[in-house]
Amino acid sequence: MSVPRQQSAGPQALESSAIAWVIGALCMTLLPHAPYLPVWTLPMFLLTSGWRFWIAMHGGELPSRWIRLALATAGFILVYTSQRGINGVAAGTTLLVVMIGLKMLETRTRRDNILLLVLAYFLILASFLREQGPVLAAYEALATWAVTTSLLQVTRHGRLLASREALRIAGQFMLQALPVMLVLFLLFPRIPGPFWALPKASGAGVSGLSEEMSPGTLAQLSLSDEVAFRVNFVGQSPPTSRLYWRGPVLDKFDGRNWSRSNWSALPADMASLAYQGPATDYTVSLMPNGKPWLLALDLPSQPLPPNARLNRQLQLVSLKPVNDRLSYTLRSYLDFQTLGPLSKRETNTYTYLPEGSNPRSQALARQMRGQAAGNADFIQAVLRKFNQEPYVYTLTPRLLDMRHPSDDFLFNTREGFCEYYASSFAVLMRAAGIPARIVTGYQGGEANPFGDYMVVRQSSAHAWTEVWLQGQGWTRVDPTAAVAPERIELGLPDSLRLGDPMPGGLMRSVAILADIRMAWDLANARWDEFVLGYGPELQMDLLSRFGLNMPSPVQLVLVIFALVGGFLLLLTLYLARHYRPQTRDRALVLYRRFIKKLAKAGYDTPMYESPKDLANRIGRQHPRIQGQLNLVVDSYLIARYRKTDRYELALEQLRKAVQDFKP
Amino acid sequence: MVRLLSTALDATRTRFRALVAGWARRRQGTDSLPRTLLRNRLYILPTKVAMVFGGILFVMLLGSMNYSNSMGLALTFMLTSLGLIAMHNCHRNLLELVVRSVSATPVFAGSTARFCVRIQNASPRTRYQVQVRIGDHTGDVQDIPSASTSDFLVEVPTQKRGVLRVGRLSVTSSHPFSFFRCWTWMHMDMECLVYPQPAAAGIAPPQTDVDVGGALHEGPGNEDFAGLRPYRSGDSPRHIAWKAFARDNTLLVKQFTGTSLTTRWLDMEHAPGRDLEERLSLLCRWVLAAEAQGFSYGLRLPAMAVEPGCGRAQQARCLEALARYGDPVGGDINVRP
Repeated sequence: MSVPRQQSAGPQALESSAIAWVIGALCMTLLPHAPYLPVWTLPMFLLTSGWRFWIAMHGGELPSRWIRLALATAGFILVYTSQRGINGVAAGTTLLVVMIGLKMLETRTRRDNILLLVLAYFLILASFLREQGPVLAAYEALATWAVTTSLLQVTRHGRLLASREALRIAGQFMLQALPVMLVLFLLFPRIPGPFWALPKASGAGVSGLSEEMSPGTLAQLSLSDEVAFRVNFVGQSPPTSRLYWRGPVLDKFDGRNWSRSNWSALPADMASLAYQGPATDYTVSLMPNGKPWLLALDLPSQPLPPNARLNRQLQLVSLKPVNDRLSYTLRSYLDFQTLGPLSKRETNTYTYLPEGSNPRSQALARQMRGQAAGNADFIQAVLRKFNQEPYVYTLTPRLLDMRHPSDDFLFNTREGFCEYYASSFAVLMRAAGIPARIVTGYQGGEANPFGDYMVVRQSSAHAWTEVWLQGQGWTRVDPTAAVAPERIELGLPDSLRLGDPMPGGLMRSVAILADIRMAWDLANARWDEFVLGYGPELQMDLLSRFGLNMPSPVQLVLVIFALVGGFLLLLTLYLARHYRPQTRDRALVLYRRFIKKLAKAGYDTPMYESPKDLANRIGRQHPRIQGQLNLVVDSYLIARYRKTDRYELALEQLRKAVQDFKP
Repeated sequence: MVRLLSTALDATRTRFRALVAGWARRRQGTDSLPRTLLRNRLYILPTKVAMVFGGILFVMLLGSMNYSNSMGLALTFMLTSLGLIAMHNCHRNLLELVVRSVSATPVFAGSTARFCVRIQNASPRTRYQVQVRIGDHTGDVQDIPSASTSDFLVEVPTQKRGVLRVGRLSVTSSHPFSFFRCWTWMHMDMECLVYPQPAAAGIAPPQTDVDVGGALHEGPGNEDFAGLRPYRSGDSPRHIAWKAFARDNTLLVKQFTGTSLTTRWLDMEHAPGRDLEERLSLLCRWVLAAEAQGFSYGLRLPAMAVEPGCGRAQQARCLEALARYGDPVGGDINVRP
């Protein structure tokens, strides 16, 4: 006795069409990885798979074990050196792709093909570690279909199915699988991870603010249309000009670049903060930025979100880098004051200028401070200078002489983006002995007319300055507002001069496209919130709506079993209908119903007996139903075999006879 | 040590299979044809592919949960439910197929017996990747199109003369994805006659036993020419008047009366050989030769005889007598006592 088994043992020649399916599925799953892989990976994959396909088409030997071993070693070393190791998502994916390429060269059996397709599923999973947007999700759904179809094809014995039929069957299976998948997605107990240390997220693809600022840093960021975060305000949102989203504070100046000093590591002295005016409540849903920075309206107050704190420079920071979408609720006051004196060491930090850097700027500052009545007057004078002299606000300024960038900007080029103004302004302040620092972050935001929220993109990245004034504490001064007030009033795109590259490009200039863009952003926001953000909290929320409050995992699993079981039952019934032999002849269908009635009543109804014989035999034995029997059989014979113009009539008579028949 | 272990494992496996076979046999009883494959006789188990796939799904689940990756979870759950759906469809793929007939044409020992299993798919859906299996012998994998019938040939090599008995066959499929294998067992007595292997030509039958008949017989025979009649289908081509056909382009058949003057009795007594099988082989050769030469012949074995005659039917009668002589067994496959 033996359990029947498909014959599959031993290497067998693989059909070229099966290999083509595998290669096609792999290509489809590789495509989203292409921009992130080292340039040589894809050509290598195409080369090896082309080689394998050629062998399948024209015959020939697969490369020997030694060649394969040599290639595998070379591939591993290449990956190891180019990715600096094999840990992390990027390096892991590269290694996977290289090994898939090499595996092509030793694909002999059906099992090898299956393995390659399983790896293709893995590639799909890997692509989601990088990004999970709706477009990619839709694409990967198609890719899953392709891989599944290939799997259907390569597990076949004998000839492959026609592509169209294979796609149809695999598509049907996926549609059938969809409800079960949804049940699992919604109800499978979500255990908050991570269980083990996460490999460092690949830095590639995450754009945002950084710890350093040199001329051009923000201008480049401003060209990115990516969403930085979205905000839901409780009640009315404040006017755009007042929306300063505070990010990292840069206070260390080396003559060219601004960076963060160690003050950022200290906690804020909450007692020194005096909040004023009305509070603004809002929820931020922050896109991953790879940094432990939370953006907040200047200035957030207690209570702060869990795992977050204000640092000494009043930046809201979290304990862990934000590698996933993060949602938090805050209360901010747009008006505030910092009380108390600045320590000696702090004053030193905030007034420090490297010896001999930007000499002309320093001289200018001393001269202007000498003419001014006080610090406030001096600040006004500098802003007036930016406003009245021919300074230009542009995304594409001329390059600065990096020896003394501030001098070059103030006296020669006189054109630049917000970081140019903020940087020069801070240099002037420090030269005059006023503590100053640069705050980077975002300014403004676009309200989405379709959803009740505001989206802030990387293009809203901004830099401004804060000066410390006796009696007032840290005070925000935005020199960009002096040059280009419309930047602050209207947002970046409307403030640029003609010919400047524009974030969002054409999309902004045509009204209907702008609408589409906003609608698309809404779709993205909802996707982020409900699909990607579906976790333990939303799950509990959903379950409590169905009366399941805080169910245990065991209860959840029971619910899953019940739902899946119920669905499979429905599927069984559905399939039963579709597999039922089709009888076109309605007369025959009715006659069969009659036979079923007889059989159910205990009469013998052998298949070989003709209707007439059956009626005669049973009629003789049971004269009680003889009349009924004859009526059914006669009308059946007329309807079935005497296809007259009175067919419908005969059929109707038969239907009635069968219906009334009571054995 | 390892060998000992694997032997023990093999023995356990064999015993287990025998137990399962016995259980299935008791459960299902002997089948009669046609037999519809209903739920109560379809068995389904995951394959190695499914085991590996399941393991990989588990890894994907852990990975997705670790990264709290919603789309990763969605993919994992999609593939999980795809597995479940595959199981369902694998079972559905065989359900309600009808095994209509099993037949086998007799063969000579040493050549391949072909069991032909006819399976009907009355449903409007194609049934994919169906295979018939007899013992360790498998036939081709075929798709059965909607509302049609397919013949599945299973080739079983034969060695010994006798009756090849098959007690069980299975109909199986692992469509789709080879994740699951669904099968049914059919228990019935199927047999294939295995004629003796014809001995090499060489020893001719002795001429001594020639029986002289002839004029005494009346009615149609095949000895004395008695005229021509129109061709009727079924007439032996040997009796067609080809000359007349060439002349008139009409098919006429030569009619004879009386039996052959030489009715040849093929007698075991006269067949030399070291043992019974060799003698039967020689008789087999003689039967074939006699038929080829158009003789009328009879077969005489100890305790039985086949009356003289000629034609395919006569040859088949004689060969069957040879095959069954002494009630030998040509080979058993899955036959339980």
